[in-house]
Amino acid sequence: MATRVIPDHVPKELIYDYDYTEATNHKADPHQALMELDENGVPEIFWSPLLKGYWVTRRYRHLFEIFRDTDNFGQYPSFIPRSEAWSEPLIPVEVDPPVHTRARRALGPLVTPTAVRRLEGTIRATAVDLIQKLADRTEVDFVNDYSRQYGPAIFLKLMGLPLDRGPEFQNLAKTLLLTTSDPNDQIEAGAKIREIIANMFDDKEKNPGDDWATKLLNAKNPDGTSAMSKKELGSMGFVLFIAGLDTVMNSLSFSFRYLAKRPEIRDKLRADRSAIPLAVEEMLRIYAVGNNVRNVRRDVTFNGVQMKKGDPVLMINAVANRDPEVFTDPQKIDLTRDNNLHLTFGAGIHRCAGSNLARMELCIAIEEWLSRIPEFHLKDGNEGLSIGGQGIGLLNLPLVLQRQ
Amino acid sequence: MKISVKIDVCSGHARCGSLAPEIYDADEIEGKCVVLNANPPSALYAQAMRGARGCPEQAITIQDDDSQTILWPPAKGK
Repeated sequence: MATRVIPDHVPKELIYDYDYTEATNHKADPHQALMELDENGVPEIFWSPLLKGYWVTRRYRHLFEIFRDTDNFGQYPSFIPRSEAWSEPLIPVEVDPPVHTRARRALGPLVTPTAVRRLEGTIRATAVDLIQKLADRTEVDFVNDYSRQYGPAIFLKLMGLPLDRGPEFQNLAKTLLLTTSDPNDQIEAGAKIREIIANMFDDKEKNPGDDWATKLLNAKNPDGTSAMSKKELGSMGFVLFIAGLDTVMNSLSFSFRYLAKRPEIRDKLRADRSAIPLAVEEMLRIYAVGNNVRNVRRDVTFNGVQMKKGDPVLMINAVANRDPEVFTDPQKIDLTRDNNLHLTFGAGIHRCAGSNLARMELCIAIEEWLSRIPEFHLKDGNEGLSIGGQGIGLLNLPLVLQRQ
Repeated sequence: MKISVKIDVCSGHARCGSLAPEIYDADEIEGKCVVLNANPPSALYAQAMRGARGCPEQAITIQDDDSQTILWPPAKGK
């Protein structure tokens, strides 16, 4: 049993032993498992002495405030507990202005709605290619046969890297991101990814192309100087590599598990593609695939709770996304919900930069899958196995594909 | 109806343009909100409100021309 950490400033009535990774591991419904905090009457803001000690918040209004209050809540380090696979502040997620401003200046133009629309053909081709490979199968593991391959394939294409490196990238990402990995393997995978990214930028400097890597290298500040140094680009490239992988993968896995159980919804979305974007938004809300972390920057009283500089703060997006103060009938999956202010992509200056790309990847995956494989269901009713922590996902999802 | 955006609060989610494409768009550099039609005709009022309500940052303000009443965001919290 690991030591419990309880600093002097934490009042007894706010202490509740909670391991958020354990709470979401190996569950059929990890998001509902997080709702148990409400069902058990745990304080809205509490201190868990586990995992070296951290605050846990889950109300929408609290998360909204923390996300936007960068004066009191810093982004570094952004993991609980800290993994050694990440040694320096990651750009742009863990840094402040002015580095953050330069990084978003370089990245911003690549991920605006207009820029993302130009990537539609590339993303659609990736989805179609993966789905066609499954065309004559009767059983697939959706996670490993589709969603785990989709993100890395798109990353390779966007960055202008050789597509045959897909399997290598998938394995590195899997080792790095799975909380069940051996810590030494994680460190090794992290180092390997950084090396690949550094080599990529070196190569693109000599052989520029019409790709993100070249555009990031060429990004300029208003005064004409380079927006990002090579070292900074290395960090950002690493973030771009990991950011779009397990998030999109997990969101797809939960969405397809839902679709596998709901033939009438599949029919509806297949008949009317224009209904897919709002449906995706609702899946993003109900199956929030990540929890965020901040660190208290200076002693602060937050909603009546005294927090001290250095205290880690976990934000449980999945619970905030079902907050009855904000969402009507919050536990209901309403695929036409159009007033959907979910926090799955965060808020404030650190909100997910790739949200529009992620949305397009999700919509296209559903469109192309449903038009090619309209009928599928869970194999033997198996809901798959969840993996929890800061990312919440499914390790596997066995599906039976039916042919007409 | 008069529409304005607190551009320092806008973080570029681009939900407004997605929900109300005739009223809002996103710029090509940061993806921040651009109001295409700050005084829309009444036929577009509902769309304008839909886009404003969809802003996760509550960066969009909508005011009624005649009464000067703030139609969005709500006075206190949500």
